[in-house]
Amino acid sequence: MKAMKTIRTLLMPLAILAGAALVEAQGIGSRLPQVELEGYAQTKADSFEDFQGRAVLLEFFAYW
Amino acid sequence: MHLNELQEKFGSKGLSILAVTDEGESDTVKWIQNKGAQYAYAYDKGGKLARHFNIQGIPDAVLIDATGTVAWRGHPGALDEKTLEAALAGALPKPLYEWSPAAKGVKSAFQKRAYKSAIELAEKLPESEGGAEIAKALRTLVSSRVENLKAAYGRGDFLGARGAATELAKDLVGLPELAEATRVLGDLAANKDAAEVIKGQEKVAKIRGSGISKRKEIEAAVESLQKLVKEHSGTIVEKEANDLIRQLRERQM
Repeated sequence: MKAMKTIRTLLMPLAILAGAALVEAQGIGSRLPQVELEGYAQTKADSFEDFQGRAVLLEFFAYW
Repeated sequence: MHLNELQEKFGSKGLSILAVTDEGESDTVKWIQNKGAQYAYAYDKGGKLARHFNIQGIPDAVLIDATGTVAWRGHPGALDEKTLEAALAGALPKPLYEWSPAAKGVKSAFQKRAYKSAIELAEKLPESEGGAEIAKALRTLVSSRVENLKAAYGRGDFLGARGAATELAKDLVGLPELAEATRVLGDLAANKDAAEVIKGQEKVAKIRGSGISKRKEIEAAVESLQKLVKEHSGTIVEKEANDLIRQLRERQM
């Protein structure tokens, strides 16, 4: 598991560099699935439906 | 531009930034404080949403436009203003949870996508409760959805157009714009080439949604996708299949 984590850490910068080239990647044009998130903080929203009609920039962070 | 600045600058133009993590609460609160992030965040328990988007490296961002369609994805720092502004077309300048409590009925109708009701109720609200402003925002959102529908059909994204037109045919009941949605559905029904393209798009979507990860499965999928590229060359299927091949090959890394 630790080795996997090290490999992923080394690959991360590559993934980030590839990020710009992935602008055309899969998913663009697809509809959002049902979004089930919890514990909304720093907002008055308490469900994803509260963002209906807004453009939402999802920032994924801190996985592994 | 730092995300705080992005939220500040584009918030009133319809942008909501939402940071998402599957880490635990205490780790997250620490990270948020260290980063000084002022925007909203929430928990993706079990990493379900990250899996849906096949998040590979972090940070990674997905931009969803006001119609609920994925508009862009990549490193948050790589988002350019032009792409962002396109995604903001039609977005509500004020999120639902900032509407006056008097607009509760409007909000309810809007969330049920009964746009005609929502607009009528908004127009009945007094000026002081922001009724005119809300009605305008709703009308702009409706126009924007119709424009997106026409654009999808125009670029040959017949599957996307069909989905959008089907939804709009329900959501726009009672509004003049309904005719646009009905017309696209009619055009799609009459367009035999579109029917073929849709079949190809559906096959790509099926492979995309299958969540494969084993080398053999990926190789088989790439082979199927290459066949689709050949069968449907010169159409959006070619592009979608090639995009997915590229993405699957990255998954093999």
